Amino acid sequence: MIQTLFDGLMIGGVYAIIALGLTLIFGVMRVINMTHGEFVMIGMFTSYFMFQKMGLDPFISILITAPVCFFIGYFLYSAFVSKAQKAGEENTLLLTAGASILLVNLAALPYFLGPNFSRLTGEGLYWENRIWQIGGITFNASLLAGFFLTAALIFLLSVFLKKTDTGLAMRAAAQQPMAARIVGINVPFISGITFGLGAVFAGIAGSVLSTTYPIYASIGALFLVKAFVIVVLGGMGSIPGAALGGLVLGVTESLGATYIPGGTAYRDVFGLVIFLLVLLYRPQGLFGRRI
Amino acid sequence: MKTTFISTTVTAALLAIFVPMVANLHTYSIVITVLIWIMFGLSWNLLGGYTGQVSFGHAMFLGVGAYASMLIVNAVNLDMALTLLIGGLLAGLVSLAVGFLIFRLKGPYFALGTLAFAEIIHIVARNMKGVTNGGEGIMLMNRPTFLGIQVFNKTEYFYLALLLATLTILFCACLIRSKTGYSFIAVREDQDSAEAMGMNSTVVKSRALFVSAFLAGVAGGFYGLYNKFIDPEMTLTVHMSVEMIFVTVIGGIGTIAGPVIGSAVLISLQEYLKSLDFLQAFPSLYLIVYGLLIMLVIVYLPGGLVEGLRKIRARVKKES
Amino acid sequence: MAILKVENLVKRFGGLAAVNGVSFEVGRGEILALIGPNGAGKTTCFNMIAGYMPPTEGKVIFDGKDVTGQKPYTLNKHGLARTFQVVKPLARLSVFDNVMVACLSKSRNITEARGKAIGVLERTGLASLRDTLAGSLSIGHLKRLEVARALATRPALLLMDEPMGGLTPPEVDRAIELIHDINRDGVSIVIIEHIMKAVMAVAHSIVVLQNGEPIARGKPEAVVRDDRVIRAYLGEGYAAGR
Repeated sequence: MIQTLFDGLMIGGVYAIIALGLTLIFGVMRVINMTHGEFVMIGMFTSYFMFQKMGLDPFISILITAPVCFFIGYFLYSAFVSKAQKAGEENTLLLTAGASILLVNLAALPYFLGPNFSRLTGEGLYWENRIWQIGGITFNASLLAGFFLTAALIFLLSVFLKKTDTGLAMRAAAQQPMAARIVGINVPFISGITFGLGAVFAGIAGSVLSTTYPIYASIGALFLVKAFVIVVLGGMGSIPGAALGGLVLGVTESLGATYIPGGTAYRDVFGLVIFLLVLLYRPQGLFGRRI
Repeated sequence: MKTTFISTTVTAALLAIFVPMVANLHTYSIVITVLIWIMFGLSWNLLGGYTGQVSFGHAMFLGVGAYASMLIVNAVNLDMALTLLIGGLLAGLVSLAVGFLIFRLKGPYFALGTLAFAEIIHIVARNMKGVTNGGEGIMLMNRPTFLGIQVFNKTEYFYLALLLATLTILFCACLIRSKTGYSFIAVREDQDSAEAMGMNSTVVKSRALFVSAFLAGVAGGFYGLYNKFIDPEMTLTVHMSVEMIFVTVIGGIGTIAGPVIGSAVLISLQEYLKSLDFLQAFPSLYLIVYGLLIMLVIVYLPGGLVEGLRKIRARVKKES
Repeated sequence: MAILKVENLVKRFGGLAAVNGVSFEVGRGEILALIGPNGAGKTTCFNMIAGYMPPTEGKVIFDGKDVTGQKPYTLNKHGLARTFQVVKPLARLSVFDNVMVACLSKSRNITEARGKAIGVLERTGLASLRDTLAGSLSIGHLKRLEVARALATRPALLLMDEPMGGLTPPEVDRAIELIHDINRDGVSIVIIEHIMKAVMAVAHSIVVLQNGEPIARGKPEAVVRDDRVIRAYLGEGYAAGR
């Protein structure tokens, strides 16, 4: 039972970082980003290729994944999303849905088809089947490391938002874009950075998960749904909400899969029903709307 | 209205005469697919384009119609005309429940709500083996008739598709110019304003949703009976919902011609790309172009190809 | 019997009372002006009367019937129309279609609505703009369209929220004429307005709000000289210096 709990917490930590990226994008720009799952996929693919070609450990390849995701995200925002935003939120929703199709299928081109549903494995991989035992509980080593990484990132993000100028600018742009512009904040630039940052979080999660999940082009959809459920539950734009929501979802899935017979098939339905209920009856989620 | 009526019926008549003369099985398949997607697009457009409620879950109505039709024909081989009607009405009924729950959500949240709803139905259909036969799908066991005429080979399905698509176009064109149609547009433009002018916006939206779901259900029923097989993956997926949107958006949201042009262009494009030899190794290329096209249209040509054509015509007029 | 009777309207947003006990009556055929400094709660009153917001407390009695909390479309059917301070045209439709849509609720079909629309356009001086897209109109014409759409629903009572906002002086004069015209047809009017010239020209009586409460009411000449009103608009310093 405790084992199941911890299993859930571990995966929940990774979910949290994915949701964090999504809630950041939503909180600052009110953009519902349908491409978010694809950045997880990009993270996975990048780490996979870095390992195949250069033997780079997936955790180390985060140093590559992060900038890659950042630039793709920033470009996506500046070239397309910012322009579509003028026509409204549904417009950006449609745009990001289109971008999602583009990204998934770019990745599905034969050249990229490398991973082909396999996980990141191979000789010399530190994380290969590695387990850490702490106090009688078995941990998947990469997920445990990922958990600590997530905690560190959340801490860094909070510090960044509260103490740095850029972070402050982001919060200003989130709360009052017009007023932020008037005081000299370059709102389009800040928005682009935020989008990029959100993408980075998703990508890092991808790198962490690459040894645990099978990697294929359309895996993004899986994580997008989970991220949405978490973000709506925790409150759109709320960091503690995303963190807590991620853990809750991870634990719920873990317990549900272990203890509810035949529950696996309908497991996704539970998440979706919760999503709908929250959207309808408590749209601000647990922690409200602001960063 | 007259121009739409004339151009539609004339085009339909021409197609009815000339296509059978030159078509082989493959061509029929393409044309029928275009006609089906015209119907899907028009149905989504009624709610999304004319009433301004963007639904990301329209596949659920398509699916209800498809499953209803297949089950009815397999069970009692009811005439298609009745079957499709029943499928459409069932989809309409489902829409009433959906609308009741989800219309309180605005804008993109409405979109997400419909997406969630449709996915729930998708997963349920995959698992409710007793009714839907789960992932194995349902095979058409009988030979259906339409108004007494047997519909079995491609040519017969073609005529039926042509008839249904033409009726759908004319119906939508009529509806848009009626009192109900204008109420849709008013709610889209400014809901508060519409209410101030005496319109109950929730009722208006529900009406739009019902008709939209009905059309999707009828088209879905035909889609199932034409393919002679359905399963959850070809009827109830997000992919289907999204394609219904994009066919309309690329063609021209909020116009009758939009879904028609969008469907024709996209399906033809897909066929063309599939046929090119050097692209055989890249089956996903069509989707890459498709995704890119959507992005470009939304940013640079929000009125779709219809707007593009209008601009070209205006420029040509200026030159002369 | 008064066409509109508002009793002790209160609207609280959290701890803040935007409107705190407003009552007034509008006689048939009367024009009542609701004035006061910004933030006094005037538009909130309108929103409560016209059904956009339910009051926290209080009653709205229209034509003898308690209509408190009813929806805008129900009220419109009973003969209450309103214009919006920030205009809400149906931007992608033509001026003609905008008015025609407004006529629809009291017509059986499009043809009937079309016929009525022509009349309304003539009345409000918009006939020459009938085919222009509403979204491309100037503010003066937009305000006029706002009124035209409200008129098209054949109201017995018309609530006008700052109809002169943004108009040039000649446009203000024309608007005053239009208001008189509408009133002559028997339509009662409640008007929120800041432009005193217009208020003095059209109002039969005035109610002054400050901080959600009425501080004066009565005939225009009396209200304008009222000390409390002067203090509310021009401040203590000015009032003391008088």
